[in-house]
Amino acid sequence: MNRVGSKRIFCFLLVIIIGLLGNRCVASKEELHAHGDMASVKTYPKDYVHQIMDINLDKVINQNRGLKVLIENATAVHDYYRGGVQEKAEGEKLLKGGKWEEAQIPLEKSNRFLQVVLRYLPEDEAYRNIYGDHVVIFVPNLLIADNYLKLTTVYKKMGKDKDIIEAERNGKEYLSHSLASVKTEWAFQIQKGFEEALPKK
Amino acid sequence: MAIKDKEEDVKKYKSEFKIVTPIMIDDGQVADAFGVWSHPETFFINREGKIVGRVLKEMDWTSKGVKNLVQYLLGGKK
Repeated sequence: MNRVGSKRIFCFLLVIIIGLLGNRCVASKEELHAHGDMASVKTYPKDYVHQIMDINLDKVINQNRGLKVLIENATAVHDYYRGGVQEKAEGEKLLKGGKWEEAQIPLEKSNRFLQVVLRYLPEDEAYRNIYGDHVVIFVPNLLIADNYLKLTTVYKKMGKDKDIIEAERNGKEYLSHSLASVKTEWAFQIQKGFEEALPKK
Repeated sequence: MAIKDKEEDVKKYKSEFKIVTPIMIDDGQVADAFGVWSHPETFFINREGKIVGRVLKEMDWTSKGVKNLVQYLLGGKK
C-alpha cells in the first residue's frame, strides 16, 4: 500500500484491535498458565444447583449491555446471544409497565436470536469462559423458556388461547434442555411458574 | 486496545514490536460495550462513528486481503 493510500485510509477509518497482549506476545503459554488464566473458572458437580443470587436475569442483562445488536449486523454466535438478551431486557421492561402487546414483539424476537445460538452452542453453561478469566452466564435454553413463560401471560391477556398451549409446550421443552445441562434455582422457579400459570385440567 | 493488561507489559510489548500507534488499556468495560467475546477482535469505525467492519481473528495487516477489505469498506474507492 503506498503512502498516499495509507494516509487516505486513516482519514476514513479508525481501526480498533481489542485483545489480550499477554496471550499473544508478552507472556509465554507457560506463564499464562501459571498466572491462572483458567484457574479462576470454578467447576461444579453436575447436580449442583446454582442459587438465584448467582445466576439470575439481572446479571445476564448486565453482562450483555452495550451497543445494541441488530439482527442484520449479527455475525458471531455471541452477537445472537447478546441480541437475544437485549431484546429480552426490552420485553421485560415493557411487561413491568403492563404493556403486554408491545412486550410480545421483543420477547418473540429474543427467542429468534437465541434459537440461532442453540444451533451452534446447544448447551447452557453456568459460567462460560470467553477470554482470559472473563466468564459470562450462558443460558440460552433457560432464557427462551423464561420468555415462553412470560409469553403465556401475554397471550392470556390478549386472548390468544392457541398460542398459550404452544408457548407452554415450547417453554417446557427448552426448560428441560436447560436443566439437562445445568441446574439452577432460576430454572426451578420457571418450572414452578409454568405449573402455577397453567393449572392441570 | 489491551484488555486488563498491566502498563509495564504494554510498554514492553510496544517497544519490542516497535509499535508507534497508541495502545489503550481497557479494564473490560470497552470490550463489554463492543460485545467482545474472543480476542483478538478488530473493529473498523468510519468517520460517522459507525462500525463498518469486524474481524474475529488474527490477520496479517500487510496482506493483499486486508488491503482489499479496507478498500471494500471504503466503498470500493481506490
